[in-house]
Amino acid sequence: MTYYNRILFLLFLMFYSCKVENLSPRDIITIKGSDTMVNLTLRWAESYMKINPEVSIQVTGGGSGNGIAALLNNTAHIANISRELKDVEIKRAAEFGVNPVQHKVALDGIAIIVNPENSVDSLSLIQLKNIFSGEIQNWNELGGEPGKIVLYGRENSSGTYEFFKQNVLNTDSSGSVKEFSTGMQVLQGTAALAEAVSRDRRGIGFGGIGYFALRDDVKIVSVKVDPQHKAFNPVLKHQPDYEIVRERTYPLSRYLYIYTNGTPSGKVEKFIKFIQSEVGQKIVKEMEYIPLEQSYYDNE
Amino acid sequence: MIMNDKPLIHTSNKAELNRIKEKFIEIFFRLNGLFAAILILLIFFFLIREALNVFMLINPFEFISINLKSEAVYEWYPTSDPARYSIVPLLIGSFLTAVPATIISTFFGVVLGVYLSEIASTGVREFLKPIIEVFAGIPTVVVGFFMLVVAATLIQDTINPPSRLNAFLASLGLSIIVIPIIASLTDEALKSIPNDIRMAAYSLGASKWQTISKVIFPTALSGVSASVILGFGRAIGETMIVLMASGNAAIITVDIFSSVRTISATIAAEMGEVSVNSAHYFSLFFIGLILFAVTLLMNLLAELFLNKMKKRFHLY
Repeated sequence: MTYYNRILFLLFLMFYSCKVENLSPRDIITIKGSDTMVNLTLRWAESYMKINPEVSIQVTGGGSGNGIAALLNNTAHIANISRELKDVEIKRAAEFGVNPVQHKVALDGIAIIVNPENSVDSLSLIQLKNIFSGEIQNWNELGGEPGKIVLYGRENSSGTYEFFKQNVLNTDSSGSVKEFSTGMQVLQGTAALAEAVSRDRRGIGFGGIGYFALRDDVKIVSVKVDPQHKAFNPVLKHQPDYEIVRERTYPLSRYLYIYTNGTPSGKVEKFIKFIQSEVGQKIVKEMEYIPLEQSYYDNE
Repeated sequence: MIMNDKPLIHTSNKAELNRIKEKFIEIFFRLNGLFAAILILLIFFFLIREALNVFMLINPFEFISINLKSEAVYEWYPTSDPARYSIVPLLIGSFLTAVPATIISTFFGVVLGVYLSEIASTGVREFLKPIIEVFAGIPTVVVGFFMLVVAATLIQDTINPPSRLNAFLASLGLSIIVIPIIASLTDEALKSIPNDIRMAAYSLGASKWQTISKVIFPTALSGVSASVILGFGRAIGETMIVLMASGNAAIITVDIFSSVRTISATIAAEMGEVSVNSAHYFSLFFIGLILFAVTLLMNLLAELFLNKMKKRFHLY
């Protein structure tokens, strides 16, 4: 038994020696919220911590709803939210004595892609809704070559899926709520999706604008709110037309926000300033989201 | 007297040292073994604990179907409202990829195994066997990528199925991994049959084909069955190939050319971004537990068949 004890003691010493003494206490910023924004925020945090080593930023996801809850319970300095706060949520915040202040940090837009051989050039939101819920099943109903429509989409846990569902499937004049068709094929990542659509003449898919802009093997479809409205294409001559996204004239676009309790000050204010600065907005572009101002984009 | 004592003490010291050394090595190995076993048990308990948590949030029957507007719905929509957790389309997806893969692999794998064990010369066997085993070790993501980019286009151009990525494509990909497993295990099962039996058949005037088909193969049947079952277990648990090649649409179908979503692919695809401790999170553990139960059952069955054969020939 004594050997066991000795070994246990040695093991204890081994693990104990691994314990790292805490370095000098650091300023901590806690961020919670939208899963769509987790990776983007992590990148901001990494770059910011490189410049300001005395600040430690902790980022967790869990969804926009989680972010709001954390803000109300005072367990986070910043809530990442990929939509505007609902009225109910603002009321609830007031009950908790929290004053949520909105900061725009980036834009997000979704493009609809089809195969280059497809003759369909523009689709309305209602058509998109019927296509992706499985009601329109043949391209000839949309003025294309006859053939079964093959749907390509993203994982149900991805922000793109959620955004598309909210903005295309769940809203229209009649207010009906629809699900994605069960026949929609689910691909891992925008790259695989673009690959699949580029090889499938009957395919249609959706994903971030920035990603598809440079590709020749998929065609980006113009989108209009109603059949009578003008259709907008988010990409012109391989250049993402970020102006129509920023003006919100392109229907499938949204702002990404962060919320703080009251007007931020000190370390939080500095971090938000960093996000909205040129450096922060460059990261937005790198992560395939859309920067807040065109000037950040042009300064290459 | 003092002079006589010294060497005696010396040797006993050395023996003592050796004893300690051996004891130490023994403990080291025992700790290692124990550690591995405990780790596996802990993973198992973790899986069960997380999986059973789901029943605090979801009614067990919802894993089969849910009533929406007084209509039973069999759908996998864990992030919708109301969330739907029917495992039926996923189970169908898993079987629709694993069963065809096993059938294809059984045909080619068993034939290849018989060839290796009974027909091929020693030289050919020494050459072929390692190559086949390398095939079993190809990273599955490479196989998946190959299926996604090359094989999918090939099948699209020849058969032109309604969806480019489908269960058939995935089962072809799985076969690349499963054929070597079945071939290798079949070869070993046949090789384990004592040579006396072969010689007895030949001495009775049986031809080579008669010996293989009437004597050797039936005798090794439980071993061959075990190899097929293990192959099936591998096919149903395989993730990366089906994730990339099956299209992942959770539909209820028996059409092998339609896109399907398997249990393993669902877990791999959704676990990364699910919010921890939600009903969706626990339900992923639950379907993982079901998958684990299926593969465990397959492994036990295979073990049973192998034991039966070992007992018969007093092997090992």
